[in-house]
Amino acid sequence: MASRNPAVPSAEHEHDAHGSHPGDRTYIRIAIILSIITAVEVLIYYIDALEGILVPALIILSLAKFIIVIEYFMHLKFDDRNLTYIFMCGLGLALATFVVLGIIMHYDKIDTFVSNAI
Amino acid sequence: MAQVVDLTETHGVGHDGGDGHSGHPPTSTGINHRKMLMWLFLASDCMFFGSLIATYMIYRGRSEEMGIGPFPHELVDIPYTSVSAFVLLMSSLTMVLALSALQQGNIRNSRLWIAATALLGTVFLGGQWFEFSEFYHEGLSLHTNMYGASFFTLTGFHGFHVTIGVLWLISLLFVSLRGGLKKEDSLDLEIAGLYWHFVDIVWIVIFTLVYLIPYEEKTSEAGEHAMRLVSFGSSLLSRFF
Repeated sequence: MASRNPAVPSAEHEHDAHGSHPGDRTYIRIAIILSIITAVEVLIYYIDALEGILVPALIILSLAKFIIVIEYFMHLKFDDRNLTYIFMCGLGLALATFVVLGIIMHYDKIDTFVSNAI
Repeated sequence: MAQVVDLTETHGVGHDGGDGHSGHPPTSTGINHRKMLMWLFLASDCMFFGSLIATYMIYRGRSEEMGIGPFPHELVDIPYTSVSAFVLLMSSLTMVLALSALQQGNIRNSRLWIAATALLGTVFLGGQWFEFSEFYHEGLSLHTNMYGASFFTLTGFHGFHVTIGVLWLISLLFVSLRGGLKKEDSLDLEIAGLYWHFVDIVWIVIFTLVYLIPYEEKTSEAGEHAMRLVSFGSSLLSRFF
């Protein structure tokens, strides 16, 4: 975690200086990587042989894109660690909402299924 | 003896929380308040989109079960949406290049990249408008079925976010043209950039979950098996408790 003592700037605080942000070339390389990942996503969508692993593969690829954008384009990799914690809290709650909603609707379906069976 | 720390020297001038505002008052975290507020907003927006995406994922299958069409696989055009996704991805690149140019003091290039980002955002919005019109002509509207309601709500709110971003960028471009956006004001552009990149990452998730992941019979069959298993488990538990 970043040092809170302003008199002693930590290594992470040193990174806050804009000079340590990636240069334009790095940004272009990252954009190329993101484009390639998007192309791969679309490609595997059309390959029937990969149907079995389509969903996990798509989720992993989109997760990779997500992480690359927040780390490099949004500078979370170089900014104060507290910003990462703030964002992760929101993201964690969003995922929890996603899972809980899924479970609620799933159990709602089970109730319907059981009552139909009875 | 307590150490006396001159916050003005260490935070206000020497270290400014990475915001580029040398005159910003000191903060207890070392992070500029505006930047932290934007991250808090983005965290709350994650929950907003998380709920919308979850609702979509639940309802799109239900409309197929109810047999009220049209259905997702009949309408989505993957090559077309892939181009839209690429356009938004490239707008993230132009956005970060605009910030980089401004931080280096290259005002002219920063204006150019801001304009390019706003243009790419507008192209994306045009594409979304066209897609919505096509879906409407195919018979899908907010009132048709659960798929239509959740799809238009989710993608419509994302489009609304992009519209706000485009307006924000255009206003920053005008401020820059009037000489109000200099190297020292890079935080203004950085905050707009954070919002823009967030809009991009939301589309990364929507593109995968809404467009690419198919809803098939296999999925519903697997769900049926899972439901049988869970109902068996719960009936077993009810015997003991």
